[in-house]
Amino acid sequence: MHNRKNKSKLWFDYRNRKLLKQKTKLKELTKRKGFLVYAQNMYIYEQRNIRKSLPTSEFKAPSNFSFKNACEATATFFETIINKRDSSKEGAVIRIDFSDVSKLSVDALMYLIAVMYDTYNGDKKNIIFTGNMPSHEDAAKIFNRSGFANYVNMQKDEIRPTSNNIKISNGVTTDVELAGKICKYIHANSNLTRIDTIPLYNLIIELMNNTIHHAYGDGYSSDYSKNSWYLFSEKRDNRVVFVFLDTGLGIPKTVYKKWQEKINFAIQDSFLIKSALEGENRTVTKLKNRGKGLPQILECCRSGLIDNAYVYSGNGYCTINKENDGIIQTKEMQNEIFGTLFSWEVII
Amino acid sequence: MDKIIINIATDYTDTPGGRYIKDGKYSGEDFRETMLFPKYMEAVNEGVMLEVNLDGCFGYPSSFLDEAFGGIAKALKRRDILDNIIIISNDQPGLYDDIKKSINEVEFEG
Repeated sequence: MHNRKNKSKLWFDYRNRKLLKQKTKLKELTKRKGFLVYAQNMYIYEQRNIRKSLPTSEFKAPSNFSFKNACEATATFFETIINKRDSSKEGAVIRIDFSDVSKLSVDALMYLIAVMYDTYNGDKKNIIFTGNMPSHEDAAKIFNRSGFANYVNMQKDEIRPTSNNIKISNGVTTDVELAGKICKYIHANSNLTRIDTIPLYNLIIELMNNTIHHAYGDGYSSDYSKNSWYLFSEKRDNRVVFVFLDTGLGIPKTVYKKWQEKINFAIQDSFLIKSALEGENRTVTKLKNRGKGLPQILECCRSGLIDNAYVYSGNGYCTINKENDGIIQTKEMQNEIFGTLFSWEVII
Repeated sequence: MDKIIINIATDYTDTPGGRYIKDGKYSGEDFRETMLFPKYMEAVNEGVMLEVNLDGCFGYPSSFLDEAFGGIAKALKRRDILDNIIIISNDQPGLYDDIKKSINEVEFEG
């Protein structure tokens, strides 16, 4: 619960600000155009009051808000929020309490942004997210630096980090210019050349391709935005950290399964992800010349270009590190996440 | 003229994209339809080789090459299209084998 005595800063759904601005504008218009805009004005007024009339549910973020470092707790948190969103047919205010968050990583923030963005761009207009800032100074800095604080307060859809070392992008097509810019940035800040970063370029494009072709499935029905991918990148000391995600069906649900796997409920999601990463014939199209997207991740890791990579999808969590000679370590999580989260680092 | 030359990085793009036009810019399908296939047919009709230089790009997603070259094989229902094509790839020498594999794995319809 927001503690007014501690004066912790509240952040609001940016639409609230947008609605306020619209109302002010319409007020001025009403003076000039009179009754014609009265109905519009009333609509805006009603929208503001809708928020007041919606049921509010509060969710406390775990103290370690990070998929990388506290996967289970973070996944549980998101599962409850998404379930609440999906079950709120008449709308809801979802308030997130970040006050006790002391450790934070951007993969979790990015996933929250993706969930919010999908919600706002979907059909459910009466779901509103609000929340407060972490009390812990380091966590609050990450909030601000990542652009999350700006995102929820700005009147535009764009996410604008406050640090020049951070870029956040999203899209529904393969953004070749973005992939090229990322590689150029790495060339400019390291000794790596265009040829060195070829695997990275291919990886980014293949991830985007996979999202738009497979992540959201054929005939996937949802109230929310389809086919969106999200990419975060940040330069930290001698490395560039990347987080790429989508909020689709997840790899375990979208890869091809052999008939015996379909009836075997003991098959683990981490096994399916590992199998897809290793290039076993998991393409849903079942064509011979397909299924090369996910193996590109493994190739990139084993080439030595990237390190500390993980993939989290459904209940499956796979990590690939140089320390383990590029061998895929798997873990089956208790809670599933919706969609797929990839994270990796490039040493520069 | 003893050969027709395509340098992808300078004649088309240095940022090749995905498989289909609907996926986004500079897709394999777009490259094939706007440049590769017309030049290939021109080379075949004139009895010269088509030289395709792959160097100078940021990378080649597998789906791009697959759709570009595999797509020609599929359209012509022939796997010997590389007999008329010279592939230059010093940045990534393995791309020739990838292209050849794509062509060999194409499934012909009908």
